[in-house]
Amino acid sequence: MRDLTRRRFLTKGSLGVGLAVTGIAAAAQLEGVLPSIGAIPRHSVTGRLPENTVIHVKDLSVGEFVLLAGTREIVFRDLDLASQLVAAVNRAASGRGI
Amino acid sequence: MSSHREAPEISKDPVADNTDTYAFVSPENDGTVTLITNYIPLEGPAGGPNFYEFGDDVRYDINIDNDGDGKPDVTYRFHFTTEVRNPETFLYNTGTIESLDSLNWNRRQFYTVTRIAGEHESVIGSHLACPPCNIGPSSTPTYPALAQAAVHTLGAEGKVFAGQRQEGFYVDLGSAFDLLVLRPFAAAHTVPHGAGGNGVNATKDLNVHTIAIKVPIEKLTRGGLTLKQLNPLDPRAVIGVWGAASRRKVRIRQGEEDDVESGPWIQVSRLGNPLFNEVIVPMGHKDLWNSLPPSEDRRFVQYVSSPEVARLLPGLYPGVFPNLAARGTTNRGDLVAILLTGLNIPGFQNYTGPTYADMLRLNVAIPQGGNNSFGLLGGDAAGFPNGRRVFDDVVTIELQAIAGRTYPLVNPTYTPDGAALGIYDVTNPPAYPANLYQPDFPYLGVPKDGYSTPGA
Repeated sequence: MRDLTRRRFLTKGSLGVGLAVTGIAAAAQLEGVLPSIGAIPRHSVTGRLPENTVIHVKDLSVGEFVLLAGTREIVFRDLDLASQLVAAVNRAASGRGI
Repeated sequence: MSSHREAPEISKDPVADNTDTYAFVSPENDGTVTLITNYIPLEGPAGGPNFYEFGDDVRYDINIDNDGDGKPDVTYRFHFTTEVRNPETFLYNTGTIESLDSLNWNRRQFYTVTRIAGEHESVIGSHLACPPCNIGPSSTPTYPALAQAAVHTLGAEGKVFAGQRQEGFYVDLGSAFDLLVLRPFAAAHTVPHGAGGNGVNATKDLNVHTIAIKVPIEKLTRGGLTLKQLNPLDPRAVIGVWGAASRRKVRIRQGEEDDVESGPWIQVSRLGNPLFNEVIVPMGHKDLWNSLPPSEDRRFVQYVSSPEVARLLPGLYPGVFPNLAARGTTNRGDLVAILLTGLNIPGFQNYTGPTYADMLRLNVAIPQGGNNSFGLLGGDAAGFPNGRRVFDDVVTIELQAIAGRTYPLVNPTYTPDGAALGIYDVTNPPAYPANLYQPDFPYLGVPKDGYSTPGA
């Protein structure tokens, strides 16, 4: 039996980090969060996101991410980025921000 | 219910909950097929101030498979948009709604219809108006005409309607889920009920939201074959039909800012044969089933060939279904044929091949010739399970089938219990309730109005 429902989408997974990035505000957030993605260019991100974009860390153990952009769903792996996100979440949880 | 609130997740999402799907050769024009999918179960007519409407964030599909693989070859897709004239009033209407463009109607809905066939996608209707809900004699005094104005012609593509209708599906819901009481045999139930009495139609004062499209047969068949090019024994005359609703994968709620959505469309509801997900698929798999295409239904064959209801009946009614208990609870190839592959029997076929797929299978070369709500079991080959008409008594048909009536189709040595032929749901003999339907498109009747319903 599958225990994943669509309403639990963002809370499922070994980590369950969901990062919503919308509109122009995305650029700044991406600059802070995505500087070391292996498969994605590391230079600073500028400009405007064409579509609402959500990053879902699906499987922390292998650094698997799902990038939702418009109606597209792109899966990629970056263990380093996953670790950075975990660290960011933990820092935020401790009140030190990301 | 047919598929009203039939699974845990979708029961919490009414605007995406596909309650009934119909597919039939149009009675007044046998060169066309009418396809209907209904949404929003159990609408109380007095549903103001926020009267029922389709979801702007839902993608509604009517799918047609014409090569037997359980995957869509043709899709009619509907997207809705709500327009509010005056956000500074709480009212749905500020006076009598005398026309579809009435200035008194504050919250209107429009839709786009897209036909998708393979790689070809074309918008065949845009900014088409829905009718309002039937509010009452002060707000919608000319409702039938108002709704008829919302039947839109799509040129060579046919006709379309989307809006509120009276619920056409009838069922004795109270008895069905009160430990499967069959009123004709209520006295024999393990929990004594006394005499069962007459059936009760639990939906008789309720409405539903309907998407209906009537299209030429050649828009649906493999190779675009017309009625003249087909005959009832031609496998190419059979199409499979199911409805589906999808939502975007993610919705982000932003408080004062508008919500945003992202990701691909994810199917959250589907419906081919009535009652399939409702009473065949176990609870732990229902949400999964709703997310899958019919081509994946091989995963559920075991629940069709050994349905839970067939196993329950002999225990709930000791001594009433002895043949079913002895030989009819497993290996039900008849049910697999009816629901998952189609039938191929002397004089009739709606077989689509070996792929197990829950679809309404319609042989489009069989014209309407009668109004027997017992469909094929009543000798009317134009009715369920050859597609499904709005008035077909699908609950009684399926209950009798599961109880063993159709088992001899694949097992001639099996003799159905007398009780299997005596089951009925709302009426005995099976007959559809009066005044639920209209003779012309979209065939489902004028919705009940909120002022008068329920009556005193």
